[in-house]
Amino acid sequence: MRAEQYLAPETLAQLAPFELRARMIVEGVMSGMHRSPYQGLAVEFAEHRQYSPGDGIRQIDWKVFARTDKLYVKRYVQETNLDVVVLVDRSASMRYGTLEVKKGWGGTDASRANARWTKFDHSTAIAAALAYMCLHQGDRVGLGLFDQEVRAQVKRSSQRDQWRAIVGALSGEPVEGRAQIGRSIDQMLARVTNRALFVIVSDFLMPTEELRSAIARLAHRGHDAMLIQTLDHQELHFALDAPARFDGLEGEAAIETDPRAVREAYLALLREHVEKVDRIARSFGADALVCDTHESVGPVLAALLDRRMSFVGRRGA
Amino acid sequence: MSFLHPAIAWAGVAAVALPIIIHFLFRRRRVPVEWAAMDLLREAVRRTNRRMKVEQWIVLALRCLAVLAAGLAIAVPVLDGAGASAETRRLVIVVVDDGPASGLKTGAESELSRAIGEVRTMLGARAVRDRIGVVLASKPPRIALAPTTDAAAVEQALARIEPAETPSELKDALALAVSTIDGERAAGRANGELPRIVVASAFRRASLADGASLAVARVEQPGVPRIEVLPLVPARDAATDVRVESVEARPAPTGDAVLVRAKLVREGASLEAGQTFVRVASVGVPPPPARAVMWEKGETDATVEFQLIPTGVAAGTRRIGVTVSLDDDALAAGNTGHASVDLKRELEIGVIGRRTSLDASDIERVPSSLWVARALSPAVGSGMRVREIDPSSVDERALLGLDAAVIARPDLVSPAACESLGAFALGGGVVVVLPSGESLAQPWGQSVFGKLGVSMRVAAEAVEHAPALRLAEEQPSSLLLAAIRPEMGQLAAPIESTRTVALTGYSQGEVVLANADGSAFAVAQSPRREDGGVERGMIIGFCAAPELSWTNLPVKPLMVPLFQEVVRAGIQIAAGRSEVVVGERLRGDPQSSFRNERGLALAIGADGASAGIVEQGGLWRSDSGAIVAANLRSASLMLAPNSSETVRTALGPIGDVRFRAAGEGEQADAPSTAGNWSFALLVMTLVILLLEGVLSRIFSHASLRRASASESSIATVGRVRAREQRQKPEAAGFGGRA
Repeated sequence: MRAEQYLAPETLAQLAPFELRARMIVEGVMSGMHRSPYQGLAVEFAEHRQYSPGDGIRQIDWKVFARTDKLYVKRYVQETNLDVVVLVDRSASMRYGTLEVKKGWGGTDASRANARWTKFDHSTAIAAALAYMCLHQGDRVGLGLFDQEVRAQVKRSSQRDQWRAIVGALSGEPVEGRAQIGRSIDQMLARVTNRALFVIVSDFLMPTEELRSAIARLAHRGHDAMLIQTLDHQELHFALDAPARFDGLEGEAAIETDPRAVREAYLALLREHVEKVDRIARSFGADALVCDTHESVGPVLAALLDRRMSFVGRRGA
Repeated sequence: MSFLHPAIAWAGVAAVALPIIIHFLFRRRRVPVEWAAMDLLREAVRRTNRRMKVEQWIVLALRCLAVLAAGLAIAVPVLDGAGASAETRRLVIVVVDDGPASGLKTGAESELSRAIGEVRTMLGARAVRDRIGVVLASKPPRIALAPTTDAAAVEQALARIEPAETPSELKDALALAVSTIDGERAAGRANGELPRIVVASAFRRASLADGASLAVARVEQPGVPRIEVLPLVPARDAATDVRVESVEARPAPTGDAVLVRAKLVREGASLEAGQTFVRVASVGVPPPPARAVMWEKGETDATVEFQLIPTGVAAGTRRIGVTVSLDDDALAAGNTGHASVDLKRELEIGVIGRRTSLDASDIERVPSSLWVARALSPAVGSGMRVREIDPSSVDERALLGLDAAVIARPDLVSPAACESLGAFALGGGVVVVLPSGESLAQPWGQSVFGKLGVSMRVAAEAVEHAPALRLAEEQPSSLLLAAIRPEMGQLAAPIESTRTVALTGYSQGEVVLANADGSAFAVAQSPRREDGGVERGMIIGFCAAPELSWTNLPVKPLMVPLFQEVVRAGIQIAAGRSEVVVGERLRGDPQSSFRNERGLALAIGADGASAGIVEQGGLWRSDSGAIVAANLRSASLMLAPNSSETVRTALGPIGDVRFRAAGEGEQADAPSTAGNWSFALLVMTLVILLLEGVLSRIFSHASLRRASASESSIATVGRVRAREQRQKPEAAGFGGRA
């Protein structure tokens, strides 16, 4: 497996100026760039606080005592590693795609069937790029593929061959079934005990209440989340111009209609749905992005990292 | 509503199914598409389903309406309901003058064809909307087509019209047209319709006699639109034509031949010198060679005589028909004439008188009965056998076998004998009544003529004339004396009467000979039954007894031909078997039937006349061997033109007269209603199609503006980034387009 098959060099070039930072300070056992909540052991000064009984005497800043005749305790911020868990939706709805797949693409179960650049292919590209970048920073990256439940999992690791394991899972897993994100999140939470960043890549064409409860459980467990909503260009624009019979990819009953007639209503509903997903994410301090499968992956990740870095920068300043 | 092309209208209605079929076919042919966001799509469909259905039905209805409107436009609708506007709807009665003169050919086609063609042109543009009726002017005027909006029926009615042989009665036809309009109004079917009478005639003298009026008495009703009369422009040319004016046929005095005399009339604007060949034909008679009539310049009348030798006539044939024909010329209807004639046979004449042995000794005392007997049978083989009958012995037996009876002593005839004579006359016999020469008193007039069934009477007493009363120089043209008419002037000139008895009450009769003072010398009258019906016999009364004490007639050349012709022609006319004018009823033996050469049949009723009129000229033969010659009325063939002013004056009282020039359509004064409706429907079709296109576009929601507005509402990261990086070097990952 060659990295170029799943990770375009230009994508990495677009990501280079950014660093992946968690908005929340996560626990890390490895030394890294991420801020740790365990203060006092690291070398980077954070702030002064008045001494109170019980504080260690070694933490008193004697120089300040000499100048002010008051006892202050020094506090430090320790930089830690980031655990990233990438959850990719592999339900049948992710098989949808209208763009012809590019040459050189390693392929997934979805694209191999119809030679189309599907939402799952796009999600695979995003996940591969994200994993590569995290591993490049020394973070631990894990992967979960879910539909009704988590079907495949790559445990978190920062080993060099971790990326190949992740991409291997993405390219080899079948894309089928109906998505149940709540159950899948629960399964992942049972396996991730330390705080981590959950990057969920899906079309999120599911009941928003189910999504809300799932994200809520993530947030309550102290995890950070990024929702990357991958939609096909056709889904976003609904530019069909002839009456058609729509067959559901997840086994739904067929619908016969004139797309031109329902386009406005459909787009309004889609807009409403996307906004709901966005509101759900923001209500729990998460980020949400909408990706068009006809557009490049790089700008998507770059925009995400740009926003996160600036946010974390403000919190950390 | 009706249509000029009903089949297309039905096709248009049927074609309405096409958009519906296409609609459902397209529903079946929807392309399958795999889709992920089914919940969103299902909700979108649910939200728009009702609107979509309404939109679909609107578009489908518009498409159906467009097809229907196009079909109806092509079918040319004719509205007969209240939907039409009063300004343009018309009730048009086309009066077609189809008299014999309408067959005049001045070119390739007849005047009737040209007139109908002009009517078509006139109606063509309006036919889809107006109600049109057709009235034929040939006798009897009749409605060929009741007012209808069915243009096809109108066209069929016009196409069926051919020149008739019965005379044109344009005035009665116009009256019928007017009454038809009035009837339509009274029935409430002509509300709001403008009445119009189109007169398709060349207005020659045959249709409009000089000085005659075509108007009918009419009272204009307030608030009712006046009738618009649109005659075609009258013919201006006086076509040159020769026609057979009359044909006379009678047995030759020698008894072995039939003499045929044909009178020809030529008319036209410029009568140049020329010739006309005349032929005569009769069944069983070898045709004599054609005779050429050499016309001098300006000559209008000519007479041609033929002698037919009936050698090939079957034994027992009593009567033959004769047909005289001319070369074909402008008006074919006038090129034949017919006559029927009894072959030579001996007539039985009874002379009712009383004479003594001394009567013949003194010529001055020779009684009228003897003079008449000698005149009727001057020699052996004269064709008449005279039987002398005493007045006291007159009864039905005495009259049996007689063809005619001459009452020389009416003063001696008993009332019972008069009744027998009346029955004899009513049965078709000829009765000649002479004044009694014995005295001036003539008391018998009331009883005898009354019993004979005629209104004619004689004065109670004869009057003396000193100087003697002469016959008039111009004698009336009685059919009884048609055979001697050319010589009548010569024959009548020496006749003088010193004693006459005035004839009165003969207004219903015919003066055969007239005196110089205007009184009648001889009068013929048909007897009438008590119920008023006219019988076939004939009563001929004289004002002077043919005795020398009354008149010098017995010793003059007129005596023999006068009584011979009066009796012979009277017998033929009285029997009603010789001649009939086309357009009149045919007379013959009751309950018999006649058939002409073209197979047309006429049944004779109990009253001795046919129920219908004779519509065709020619020879009509009965089963019993009777032959009636049917000739066209001479006046119905007169081709002299009338001026436009004459026609306008004649038509004026009917309504507003406006002449229509040849080829002038209706567009000149009114828009084409038929075209308007078709055009309006076509415009409506285009408008519907345009509306359908716009609505389809709107309902399809294919507007780019709408699309862009909707698309811009969902911002994808890639797009945002792409905008931000327009000033930066582009980079794209897998699947990227950047």
